[in-house]
Amino acid sequence: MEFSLSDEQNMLRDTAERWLASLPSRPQADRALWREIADMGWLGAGFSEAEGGIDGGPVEVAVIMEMAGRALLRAPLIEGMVLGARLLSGAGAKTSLANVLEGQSIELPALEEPNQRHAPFTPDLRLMDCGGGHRLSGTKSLVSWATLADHFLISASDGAGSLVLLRVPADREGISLRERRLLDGGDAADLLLTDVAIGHDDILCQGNTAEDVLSEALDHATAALCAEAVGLADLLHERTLEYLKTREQFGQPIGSFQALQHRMVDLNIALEEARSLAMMANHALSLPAGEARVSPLSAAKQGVCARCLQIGREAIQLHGGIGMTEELPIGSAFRRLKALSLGLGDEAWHLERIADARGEISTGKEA
Amino acid sequence: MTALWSNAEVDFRDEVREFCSTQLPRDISDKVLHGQPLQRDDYMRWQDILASRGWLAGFWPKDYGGQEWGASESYIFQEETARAGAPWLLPFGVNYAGPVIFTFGNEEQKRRHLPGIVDNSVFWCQGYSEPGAGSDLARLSTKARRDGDAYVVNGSKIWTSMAQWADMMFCLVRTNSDARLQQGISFLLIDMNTPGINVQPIQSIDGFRHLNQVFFDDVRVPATNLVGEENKGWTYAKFLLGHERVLSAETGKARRLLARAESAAQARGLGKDWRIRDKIARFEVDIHALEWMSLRLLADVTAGAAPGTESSLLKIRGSSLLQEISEFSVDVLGPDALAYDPQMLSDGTGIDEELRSMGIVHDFLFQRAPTIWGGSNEIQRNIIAKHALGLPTTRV
Repeated sequence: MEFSLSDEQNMLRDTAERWLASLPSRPQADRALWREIADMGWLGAGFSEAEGGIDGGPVEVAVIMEMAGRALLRAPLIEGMVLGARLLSGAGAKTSLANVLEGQSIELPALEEPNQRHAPFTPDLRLMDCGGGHRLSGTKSLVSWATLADHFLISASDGAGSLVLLRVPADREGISLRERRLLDGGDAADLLLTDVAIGHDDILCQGNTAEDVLSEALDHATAALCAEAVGLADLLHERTLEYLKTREQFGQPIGSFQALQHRMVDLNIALEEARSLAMMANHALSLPAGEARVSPLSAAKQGVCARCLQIGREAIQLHGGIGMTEELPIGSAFRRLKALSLGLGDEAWHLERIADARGEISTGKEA
Repeated sequence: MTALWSNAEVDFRDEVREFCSTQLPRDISDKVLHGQPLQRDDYMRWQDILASRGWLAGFWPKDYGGQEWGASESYIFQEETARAGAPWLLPFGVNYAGPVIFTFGNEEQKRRHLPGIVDNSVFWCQGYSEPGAGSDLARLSTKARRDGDAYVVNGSKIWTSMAQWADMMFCLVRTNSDARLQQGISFLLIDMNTPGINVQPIQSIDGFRHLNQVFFDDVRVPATNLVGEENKGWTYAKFLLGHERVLSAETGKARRLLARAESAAQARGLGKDWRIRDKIARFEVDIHALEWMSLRLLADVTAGAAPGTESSLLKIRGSSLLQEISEFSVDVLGPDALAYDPQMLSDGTGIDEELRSMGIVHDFLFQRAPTIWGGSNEIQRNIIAKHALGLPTTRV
């Protein structure tokens, strides 16, 4: 068993930490910051050299995500660096992927739809046949960082009801954005698609291939999300522990009271468990795609988010009034954690998947 | 981070699996899987089988009869035997007395006591808690007064598991009442057949008598049974507690109990009940978390780090999780769990289905203990607060 980072991974971590520390507090992405992120080599961190990456993998991505979480960096890392790039890689869109990894093009997924509680494999959005090509009309909801996108990676269903993934320029006629603000302070937009012309070149992949590609991309995004959550929780844990040691009431540091000490210990346990589950998620990515990954990845997503949110709630409570203000990063981190727990399948969605997977395992044994 | 287990570790896992499937007596694993209480003979038969394979004290140094297993092997062994339905491997000799003796004892003590642990011929028990010294163990008052070539012991120990079956006890006694609390304690090995020892069973909430109070009335213990130095016993006691807690994250057992609850739910047509499914899924997440936390600690220990406060963390989570799963199992049974007859369960006579339910009830009652024993979970939280988090003590 090997859980420690290699020298190269440690270096990646230190470099990331230094760069993040040089940014203004709670940095928010724009094109210039994305350029810097690309120059840091982050975008290729999870990809092989042949694909234009640094021969890294899930651990490199997790190192970056954890540091970004700790620094409260707001940027389309899960969306662009992981999910978008994985979709292109899986679909074999080599030139597009290379452009993305170099930071030349920002390509962001548009998967979620209004009135669908995360059903990524069965979008309602229909790709209609029209003459020699296709047309697209409908809505994709809350596309994170939509105003930064050069291309959207859109999921839809074809006439036969099977999944199709599209890559469409953001300035294509018929696409308009309804900008939205998010719980975690991020930017997003609903994508309003009105009779958008789709040519054959816009189709990345479809059918079973599209399902596999999307599934692989979502698996990687889930593991990356877990790492970011751990980074955020690590920050909250550190700040809360520091506060308990320095804040004085009743003539003592409040951290000397046993009632609070035991609560702090429970946060420590929650953090260690979250960290362990995030490692399990990375390990799951080394398993064959499909069934073997379902339970560990869903367990990691639900388990990490539940534990990190517990840390978030308690961090605010233990800070008292000051924890409710924007003066400290506590509230920001809490809001981001809540957003992470609702994204990419909420708690109920993942618990359902775990229960389903168990059902299949027990039936398999009986057979 | 690379693959979870090395090829050698996978081979070892398969070897343990194979061993359990061929060597673990069916009547014993049936008892374990059905939650029936085990008798001395059940424990000893299985431990004899392990001893003849050289696996009873697998993690011990080869010089003393062990296999020098690393942390991974110990973990795999515990996980696989638990899943197979093997009895809990009694830790009093192998995990507690043995390591203290080979670490702090003299050559004569090693020669006299270690072989009997490795070959399973001597049954040990642990004399730590007292009526007036539970969580505040250092306040123990059982006295050992030096008289010629012996110590004369007076006082009593309580919550002594399986003392009624034991041949030997390792015991913390006060040898100096004037020193600071922790500095007047010594570590004695006491033959349970010595005149003046009286073992009184205590009935616990599951209806069984595995706990005891042990009274000492002018019990003469040869001075050669003092381990290490007089008044240094607290050091050895703490060393032992560290060993105790590393073993506390019983993920194999947790998986087994959860699978049993799942079968009970299915048998009652509740397999698709969302409340049940939701809880089972949450427990699965908890088991994953505990397992990966254990693996991380194991990796540290394998790399040479001493088990520190992380073992307290495993103890808290492992014990709570077993407790939660075993109560959930009773809730799955519903009104079927109202029937509980310790005598019937102990005899193992009756309708299988009813005995299985009673086994689940028995585990539910018994599993209240792990959050208390080995340093209560509150004490573990104090340890983590002070030593891992560096939180201050109250100013008076």
